[in-house]
Amino acid sequence: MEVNPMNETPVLEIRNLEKYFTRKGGFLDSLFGSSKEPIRAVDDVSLALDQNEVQGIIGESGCGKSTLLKTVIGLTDPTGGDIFYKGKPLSEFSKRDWKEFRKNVQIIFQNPFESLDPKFTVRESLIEPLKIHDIEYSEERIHDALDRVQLNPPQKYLDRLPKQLSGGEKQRVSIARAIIVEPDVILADEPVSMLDVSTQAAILRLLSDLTEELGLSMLYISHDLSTVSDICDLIHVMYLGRVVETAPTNQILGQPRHPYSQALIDAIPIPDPFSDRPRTALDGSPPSPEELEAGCRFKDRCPERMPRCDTAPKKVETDPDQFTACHLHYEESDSRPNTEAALQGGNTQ
Amino acid sequence: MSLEVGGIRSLKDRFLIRDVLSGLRRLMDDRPAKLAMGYLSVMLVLAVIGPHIAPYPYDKILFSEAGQILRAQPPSLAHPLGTTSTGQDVLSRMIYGVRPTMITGLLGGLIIVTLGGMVGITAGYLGGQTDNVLMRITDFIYSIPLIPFAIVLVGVFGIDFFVTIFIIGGILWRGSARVLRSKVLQIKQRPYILMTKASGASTPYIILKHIVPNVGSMVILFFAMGIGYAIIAQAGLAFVGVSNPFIPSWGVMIRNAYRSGLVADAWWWSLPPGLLISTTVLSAIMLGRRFEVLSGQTDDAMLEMG
Repeated sequence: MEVNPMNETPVLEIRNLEKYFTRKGGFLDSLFGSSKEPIRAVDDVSLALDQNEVQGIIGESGCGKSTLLKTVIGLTDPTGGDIFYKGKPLSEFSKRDWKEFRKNVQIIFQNPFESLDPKFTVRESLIEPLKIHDIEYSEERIHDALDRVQLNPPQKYLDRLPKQLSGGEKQRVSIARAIIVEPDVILADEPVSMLDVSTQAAILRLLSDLTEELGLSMLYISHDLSTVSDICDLIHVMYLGRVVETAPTNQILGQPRHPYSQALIDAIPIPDPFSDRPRTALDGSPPSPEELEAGCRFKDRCPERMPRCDTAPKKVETDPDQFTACHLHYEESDSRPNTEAALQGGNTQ
Repeated sequence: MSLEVGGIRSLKDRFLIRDVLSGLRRLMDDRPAKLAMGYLSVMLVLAVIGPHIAPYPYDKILFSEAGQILRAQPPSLAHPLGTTSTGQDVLSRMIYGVRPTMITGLLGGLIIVTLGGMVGITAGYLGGQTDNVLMRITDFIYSIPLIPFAIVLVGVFGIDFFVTIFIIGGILWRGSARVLRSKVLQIKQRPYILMTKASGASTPYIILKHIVPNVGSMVILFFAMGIGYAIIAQAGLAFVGVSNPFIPSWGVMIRNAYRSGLVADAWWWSLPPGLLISTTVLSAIMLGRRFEVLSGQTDDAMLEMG
């Protein structure tokens, strides 16, 4: 479904990934035989990450971004679909493959204040992944990793405990820890959302440079469109467990097709008090993922709501490389989406 | 701190030492904690050298110059705490009694935190069925009344000093298991654990290197409290007679005074062991509490203490 301009296998591919959380009812529920619907945290998400590509996933809190990431890295098992690493599905991994995967796919978490063991010095945190993977290391390698994340001079930081570091420094150490094993893919879970704005910019620049220099691929998750657009080549917009729109960064910023993407982009602040622009204010908050109705999940808040929205929308190519799951952009009768018609429909605003 | 890169072993030793040292430093800045530690240190020293400095052997029956047994003599210069009804020096018995008390406390406390820690940490970290089974066992242990149970077990295993301690430790671990489990449930969701897991570390590795050091301050708290509880429980068992009467613990002394019918008259005999039991237990528990307060004030403190 996704664009794959090169013909090589993507480093990381997700196909129709589902993560449902089943809920155990109470004693009375089981007595009366009522069972609860599972929570669909991640519902039918597909994407393909190529070598040296940075893709972003944005969506508001609770839309399933973090669950998606935890599932991709294998901390929780998916309930449906599959994840492919270099063409091989995780479900068929041998112990050896897992070891390889664990080395080559690293994760950076949101909260730098808790992503380092408070009992470990910087040095201990950095050499831990090397030890786990039995990689020979030299003092130089540790210095080099700290150098790369611009903690200079490295000697100054090596024997510090996390509490002796600032938030930005901690996040740099987390990044150094992730890149020290020379991975192929980095999964970043809102790595800058808890930092000062000035530090955010520096960390984003750093991540962007690192992916460039080391040829890394990165899946970057955030609720903040402005940081995502800074470093991502391709953006997926997620709403309540589903990807509603996928497009290259410039395209999605310039011409969002899905009403939800439009609302997100209109919400990016413009630092000019006199700038005037149409607002698409969204009413209400997303429905609880516990009681989702059939059809489009955005329908209750959508300014463009139609009767058709009660059926689930298909994802169609509204523009070259831009995929949108919205009824506005295709006709009901179409079995194959018509790009022309979709474009027409998309230009109504 | 040295700059050379150590192997896994020396690394672990290093941060253990680092944690213990910074914890002690903080405790020494606190007056009640210093007091309690001082008292317990004196007790430890007495436990080691007590038998050598006691004026008389604890079981020596003393005679007056007239050749009569010195029964229940009130305090005098020769016998600062008087004598028992069988003519033994109370002060000497008190000093001898430090050793069994300290052994009870330390061994009992150790069993309590070891069992409680193993059960609590395993249950908390592994979760699921393991958690369920282990915590139901803990619940079952909670339903056992200590003293009647000990009386029955002593009937089975015979009266022995160490058997009593093992029974005490084998029951009182339940509290620390519950609390440590809840602490681990909290810690295991922290990103640094997830990150280590995501970089492929094994479960035993994560438990030993990340979970245990981070519940360290909790373990120390339960060790200190365990010392206190074990001493109290042991004294109680000794008083009802479920302990080896030939080991001169303070509980046995109170029992002897009670059985001789002289509790009220020979106050110099019955009161001091009771007072010493209370002050020792108080010191141990106070040390634990101060530790809890000091380490609970800030996150930083929590780190330094554990």
